[in-house]
Amino acid sequence: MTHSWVSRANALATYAGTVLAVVCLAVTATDYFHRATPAVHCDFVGTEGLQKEFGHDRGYIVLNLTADLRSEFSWNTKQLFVYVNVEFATRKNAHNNMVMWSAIIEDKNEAVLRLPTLRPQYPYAITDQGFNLRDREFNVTVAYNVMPRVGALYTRHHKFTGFRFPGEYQAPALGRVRRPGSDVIEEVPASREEAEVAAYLEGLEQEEAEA
Amino acid sequence: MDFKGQKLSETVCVWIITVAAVLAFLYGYVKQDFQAMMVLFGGGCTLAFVATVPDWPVYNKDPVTWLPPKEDAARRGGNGSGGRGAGGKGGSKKKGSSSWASLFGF
Repeated sequence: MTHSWVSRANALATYAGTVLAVVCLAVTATDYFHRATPAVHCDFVGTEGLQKEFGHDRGYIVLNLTADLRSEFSWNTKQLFVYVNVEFATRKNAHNNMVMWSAIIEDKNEAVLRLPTLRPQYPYAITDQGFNLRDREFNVTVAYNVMPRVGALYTRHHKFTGFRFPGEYQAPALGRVRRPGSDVIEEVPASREEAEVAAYLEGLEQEEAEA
Repeated sequence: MDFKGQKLSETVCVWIITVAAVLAFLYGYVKQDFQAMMVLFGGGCTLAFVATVPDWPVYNKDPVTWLPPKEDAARRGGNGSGGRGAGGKGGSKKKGSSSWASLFGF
C-alpha cells in the first residue's frame, strides 16, 4: 500500500488512542492520592410500624441521616451511589441485610444530605422470614459507591450499631412514630415529598368519590 | 509527499500529541477539571491532524530524482498506444496538483 493521507490519519488516530489510554492510567493513579474526610451520622428516630403479616414480620423505621460527602468528589469522580442497609441476625438467618434507601449524587454541591425523617423507599424493605423482629437488635450501614470517570469503583461503609425494634407490634401509620425505648407514639411530620404524594392520592380518592 | 516529508510529518504528529497529552493532564489535575483535560487533548489531536495529514508543501522539499528513461526504440514502437495513455494520465495529475485535492495525495 502506498503512503497516503489515509495512512497518516490512521497512524494519528492509533497513536492518539494509545496516548489517551496512558493519560487515563495517570488519572487513575491520582485517585490514590485523594484523601476524603466524609462526615456521616445516622440516628434511629423510631418505628412507624411493626406488623405481623402472613408468614413474616415487617418493620417500618425512621432514621435521621446527616452526611457530608463533598470531599469524596475528586476530578475523576462521576457520581456517588449512596445506600442505607438494615442488618439484623435471627436464629433462622444469621445475616439479614436489606437495602432500605438509595440515592444517586451527581454533583459535589448536592453531596450534603440532611434527612431527618429517612423512611424505607419501598414498603417491604425490612422483612424477616419469621416473626422475630420484636425486640430485635439491628444495625444500620450507610454505604456508598464512588464511581469514577475512569478507573475502579470503590465502596465506603459507615456502620451504626445498637438500635432495637420495639417489643410489641404497632400498626403502621405514616407520621406516627414510636421512639426507641418508649411506649409513647409521637407525631413526626412526613417529608415534603411524601406529604405531596399523600395529598395527590387524597385528591384521586375524592375525584373517585365524586364521580 | 516525499520520503523525508513522511518522516517529518510522523515526527511532528507524535510530538504534538505527546505534548498536548502531558499539558492537558497537568492542567486538568491542577484545575481539578476532567472535561478541560479532554478538550485540551482533543484540541491537540485536531492540531496534529491539520498539521500532518494534508500534503503541505513543507513535506515536498526533497523530491525523489529518478534516472532519465532509457531510450529503447524497439519497446517504444511496440507499445505506442500505452505510452500515449500514460502521457494523458500525467497531464491530469498536473492539473490536479494546483487544487486542494493534491494536499491529500490525489
